[in-house]
Amino acid sequence: MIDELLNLFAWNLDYAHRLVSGLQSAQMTAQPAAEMNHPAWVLGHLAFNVDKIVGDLMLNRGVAFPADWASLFDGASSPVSGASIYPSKIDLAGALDAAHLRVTELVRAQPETWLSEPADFSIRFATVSEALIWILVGHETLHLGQLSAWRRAMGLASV
Amino acid sequence: MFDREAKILRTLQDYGDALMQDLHAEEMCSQPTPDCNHAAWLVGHLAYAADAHSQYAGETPRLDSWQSLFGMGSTPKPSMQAYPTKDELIDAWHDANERLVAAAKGAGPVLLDQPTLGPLVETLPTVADFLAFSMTGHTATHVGQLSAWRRAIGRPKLF
Repeated sequence: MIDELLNLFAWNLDYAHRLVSGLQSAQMTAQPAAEMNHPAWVLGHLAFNVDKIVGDLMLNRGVAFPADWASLFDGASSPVSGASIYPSKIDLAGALDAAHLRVTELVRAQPETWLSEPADFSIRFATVSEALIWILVGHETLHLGQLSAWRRAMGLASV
Repeated sequence: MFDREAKILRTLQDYGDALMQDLHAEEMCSQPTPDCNHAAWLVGHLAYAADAHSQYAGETPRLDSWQSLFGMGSTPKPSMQAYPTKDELIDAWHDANERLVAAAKGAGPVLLDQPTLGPLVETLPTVADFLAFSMTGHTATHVGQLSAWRRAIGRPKLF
């Protein structure tokens, strides 16, 4: 199961890159409608989320995501228009790449038995495998779906 | 098998329902930008897809007649006159989801180990992989689009 999950996790990363390919700096924080999640927030949030939840909460390995970015992208954050407060597109894409690489290596190093362990860090999920499916697949693709809709709201072609 | 994926699917279904709960019937086809996937198309597509995907697990499809409205390559129509009612669409989605889950859980290992048909075989090698993705990643992508669409039409975010 670990291999299957990580394959989908990798597909998500590729899809994320395709969704922001060609976007200019100003577009990264554009909100064609109020409170719409823009690409900068989505990339940062996905990177923060997998790093924090898998790396720190599930495997007690701490976080690698830049600490001074956390408040921009954590679960309590909301996207803000305007580029000045956000890292660059290159830096955000790099952060997502780094988070995916770190989490992939950490997860792949775990035995299959880890998947059956209780998800003590969460009240939503009973087991590690249940949490992983949500964090690596469900949560990521939900936000990537928002990003695909954002593209259409901006008048950009679908990918 | 598929208990975790079914839980994710039902979580996404609940979220999708919440995103549409306060919408008037005519809002279901709102398109704030041209060609935007609206709620009627999204929930109809999810119903159609779940029904179609359940065939891989041996289920007999019931929504073949919806192919032209909601299948791959279909485009959203600007009027609800082209579609089933809001309640019919949502009920069909719920029903298709439950049939997909039941079919997946009832499928035997020989069927589940069959290779996925078409180019998806590279990312989703087996029928089991495909069914799992249908319940999680595919559904999450379109529910994510639904949440972004809701903001684009000026409706408040849920959280």
